[in-house]
Amino acid sequence: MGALDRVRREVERNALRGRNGIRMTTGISQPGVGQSPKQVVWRRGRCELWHYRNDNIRVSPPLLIVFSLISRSYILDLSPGNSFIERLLAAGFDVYLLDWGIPDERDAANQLEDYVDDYLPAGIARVRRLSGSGQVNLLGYCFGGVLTLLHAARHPVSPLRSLTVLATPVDFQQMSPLADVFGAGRLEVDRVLDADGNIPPQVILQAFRSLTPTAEITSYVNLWERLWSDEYVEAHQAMTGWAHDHIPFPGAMARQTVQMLLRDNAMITDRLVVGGDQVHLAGITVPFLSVLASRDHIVPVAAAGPLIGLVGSPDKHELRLDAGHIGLVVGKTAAKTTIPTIIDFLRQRSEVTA
Amino acid sequence: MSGRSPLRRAYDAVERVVTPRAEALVRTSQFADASVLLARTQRLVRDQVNGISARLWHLVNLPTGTDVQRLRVQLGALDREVRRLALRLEQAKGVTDDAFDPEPDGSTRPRTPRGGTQRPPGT
Repeated sequence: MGALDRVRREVERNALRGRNGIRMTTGISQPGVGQSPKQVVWRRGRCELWHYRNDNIRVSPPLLIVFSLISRSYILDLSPGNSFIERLLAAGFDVYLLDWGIPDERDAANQLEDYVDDYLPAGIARVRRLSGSGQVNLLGYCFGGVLTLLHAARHPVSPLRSLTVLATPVDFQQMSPLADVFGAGRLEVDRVLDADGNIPPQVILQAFRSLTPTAEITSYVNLWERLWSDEYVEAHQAMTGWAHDHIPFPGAMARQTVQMLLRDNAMITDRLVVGGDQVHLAGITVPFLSVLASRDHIVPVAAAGPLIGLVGSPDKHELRLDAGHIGLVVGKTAAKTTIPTIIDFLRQRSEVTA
Repeated sequence: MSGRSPLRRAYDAVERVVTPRAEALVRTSQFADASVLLARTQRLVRDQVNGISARLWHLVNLPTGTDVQRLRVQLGALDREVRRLALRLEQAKGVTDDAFDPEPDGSTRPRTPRGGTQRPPGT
């Protein structure tokens, strides 16, 4: 490329940078997220069960996704063409999602039992009733994976056809620096609770920022370089918007998580207690898939890796991918490897019609 | 990376040096101690300010923000109990339609589940 062409290209790009910069700062351009058509088919408290519209269901039983309790579920349906949900629908699945909404002071006393013994069974029952199917395929993402594990272990008669978990920690003591701050009685959860009795989203955001201290600066440098590209700006806005969009974490469950899952490391030491009863991950016997990312800075391999050895399923599989925490469900690795593998795993354990 | 601007190359060089050190730093016990100290200080300041404010409002016999917060948390706990009871009742009744909020078009209708095997076939 000649010098004149380079100058011309830079002038054009700077004009586009100016336009996109103004759009971003004034908030004119907002990326559309979570656009797959869906219905709220059940709700209790802040919790909602979403049913995604699919006119071509070819796989049975339906798939129920349980999302994490620290961020917003639209990451699974980020944008058209870059949506985990969209791919599942295209593969013929009947997809439901349990969304926890935005916890407030009414949820401050929520414990693991609320989710494991109440919301999840109610959600599963509702899915069975709506779909007419006797069973469900269950999929948990991040802390949602922890909830699904506890549910499957505590309720061995739960009508699950299979269980899939993504980026799900079991060895919480490997989750540095969270483990360093809250472990060994250094800091009590009550010290960081807000007036509602929950861990505020700002604390969660700061915790995530501290995991990759320079990532935010790099993302802005990348944005400046590619600010001329509408496509890049839209993707950047969607991703950074989600990355800053955390929700309060119920205070009572935070205490339970720190004491039982972190300090007692109960998943590893087999000392899990839910609702007063001992729970054993070895009691999970349904077909099981664990997906983890080798470059995950939130749930490192050391925290998620031991899971496959803890569950009792004879039909269990682990998929380790060269991706980050979010890269499991968004972007190229998700599209090329994660989603096809999950689809393949579920289809092999489901009834598929042509 | 030859297509990158000199500024970007300079940033990448600095970033390559700084990032591993910064990431190692946040995983040290000193960083954990500093985070704990910061959290405790913030909490201490907040409690002091709330305490002074509460004494002032109580002097004129008015409830403070923390009084209202306490009430909200108590109501929240009550709300949770009711919610849990409602969910269990729903389960016991075999899922009735009391919490069912279909969309206005009514396209999703509850159906009676078929099958109901507790384990996948063959296990």
